[in-house]
Amino acid sequence: MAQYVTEEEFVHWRCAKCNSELELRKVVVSYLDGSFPVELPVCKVCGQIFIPESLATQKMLEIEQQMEDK
Amino acid sequence: MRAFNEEILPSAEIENAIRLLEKIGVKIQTGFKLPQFEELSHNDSRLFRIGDSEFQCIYLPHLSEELSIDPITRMTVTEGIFSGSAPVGHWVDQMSDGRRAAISMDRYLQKVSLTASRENEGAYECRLFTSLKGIQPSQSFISTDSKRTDQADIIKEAARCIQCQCMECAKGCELIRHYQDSPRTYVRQIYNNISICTGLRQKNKMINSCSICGQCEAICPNHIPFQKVVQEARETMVATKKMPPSAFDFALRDMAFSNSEKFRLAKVPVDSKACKYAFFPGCQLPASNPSSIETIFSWLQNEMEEPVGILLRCCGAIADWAGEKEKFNQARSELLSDWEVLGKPELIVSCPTCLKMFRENYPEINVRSIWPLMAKSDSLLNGKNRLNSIKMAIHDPCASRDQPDMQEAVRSLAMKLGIELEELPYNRELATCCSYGGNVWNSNPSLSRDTNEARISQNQSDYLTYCIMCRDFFLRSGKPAYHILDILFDPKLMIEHRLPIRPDYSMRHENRTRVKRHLLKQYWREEMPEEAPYEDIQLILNDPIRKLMEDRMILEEDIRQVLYYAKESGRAMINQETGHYLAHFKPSCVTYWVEYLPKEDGFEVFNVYSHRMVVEEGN
Repeated sequence: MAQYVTEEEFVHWRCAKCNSELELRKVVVSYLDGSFPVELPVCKVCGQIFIPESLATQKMLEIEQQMEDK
Repeated sequence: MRAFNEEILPSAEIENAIRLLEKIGVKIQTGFKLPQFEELSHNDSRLFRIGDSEFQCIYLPHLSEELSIDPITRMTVTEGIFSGSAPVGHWVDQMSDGRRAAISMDRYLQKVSLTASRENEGAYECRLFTSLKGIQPSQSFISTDSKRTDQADIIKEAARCIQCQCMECAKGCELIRHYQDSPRTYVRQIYNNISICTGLRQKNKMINSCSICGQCEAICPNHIPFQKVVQEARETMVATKKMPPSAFDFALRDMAFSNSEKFRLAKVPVDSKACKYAFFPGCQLPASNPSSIETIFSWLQNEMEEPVGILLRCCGAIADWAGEKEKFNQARSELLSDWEVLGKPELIVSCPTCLKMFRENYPEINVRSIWPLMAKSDSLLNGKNRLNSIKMAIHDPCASRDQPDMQEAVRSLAMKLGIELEELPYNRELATCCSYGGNVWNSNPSLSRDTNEARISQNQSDYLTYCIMCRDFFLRSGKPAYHILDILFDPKLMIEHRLPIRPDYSMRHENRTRVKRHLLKQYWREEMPEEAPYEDIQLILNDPIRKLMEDRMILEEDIRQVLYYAKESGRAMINQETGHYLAHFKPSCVTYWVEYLPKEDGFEVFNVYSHRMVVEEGN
């Protein structure tokens, strides 16, 4: 399973609602006809997801463009 | 062949050629004494016998001119016997004979048509246009007497070749130059791109980067309507669900905004049930120059002898360019309903694209351009807006291409304002697009910038235009550019060497709403419909964040929705080092992320980004 976020990127972030730490957990991301399991940081209590800017603007954008041209 | 001088045809080349033939299974037998044509005839097995061997077909060297040889297939009157008619010593013609006959013999053995698709063999008149502009005439270096031309002269002769090719359209179009080929190739690539069943559609980006302006067709000596191919390709992609969803999404949402209650308006003058005329400013002039709308509306009410209403919304061009037929038809039908409410007035239109769209897609509606009206009016030119011979280069918007009256009227108005006009290359019927056309600014921002860079480098003077998007794209690239209304209504801009304000995407929305709010209040004493609760949220945005929002096509209203959601749900992350919050929300197909800090007077924003991928999330 792919892991695109390093611990360094989320170590300072906590869930503001639950005041809980984040942990890497399997999450399904999908676009158009494809879906992929990836490890993303989520709130240990409520499951709120954290996606850093680098992931959104690089890897996710790259996959979106590849899926769109299929 | 071995009889040729070694210098002309080296024997090593002959050996190489023979080896190649043997490699593909050709058996070479020599020593035949070829019979005369008259001696050859089919035997019972439809074969020709020469010595001990039998052949299905035969090529005989040059035959008597009296014998009839088909000029296309090179087959003689005897089926299966092929030959050439080129005189001895005419090598090029002999090679042509041989090649044509070889193609025919191959087809003959395969029992397929000898004549199909053979139009372009040998010498033929092609449609290739080659511009001879700038090419000096020169004499041939090949001697006409019997002396052999020496090597130096042969090299000089070869250097006379101008390598004929037609790239006239590429000279005016950044897209054609960018992909480094010609529309002829692109058409084939587009066909392949929309026909494939699996694999990558590698030309999506190219298809979605054309401004559909028609300049290439206007330039093309063969009038290839490339923009129509692109338009149809986009429509096919949408119909077959192969259009990349992100390609024109931002532009389409801009159109949806223009056709929402935030801007849409259809009003007849107070005390009138219908109007004979209505002003239709389009969607982007109110976005860029909101104050001009009331000025024109008020002027028209005095200028026209009959009641003038107003119709605010998008003409549908954005959906049309995106290949979204369904969305275009919906926009068209809504516009027609609003127009009927006004009493089917004649529309007075300021935007060249809207006017083109109306003329091509709304046969029910009478339309006229505002520019000839303005050029003829005395009331607009009051002496205060007369400039003292200012030099400007006029840029015709691409949508004015087939509207010479409009082009003339704007020139006449500019001259009355005291502007000395310089013509740019690619004006009038060859007008070039600023990249707003075809929604290229959305689908290919870097090509959009290259297009503007190329255009603004063509003249040192400030640019004058009559499409507000042309003005804004030139301003974005750092070129001093003015819409003629900027000068007509605010001549001090030019006198004081100030530039018009180019609003960002969020401001373009805000300005449209302001126009509607102001007109409703000023002319009808009405208020705007109620605002959504998130619209009250105050944002604190510095210039780098505004620039980031512009680059990433994220609007203030997107940010407000994220913050409102975070406030209502309590869902956000907090950074223990900076104290910043990070929240996300997906109002439609894009998820927006905002890093922020609540302050007394609003929310200070530190970062914004988005993605389209959908992430499954716990509650």
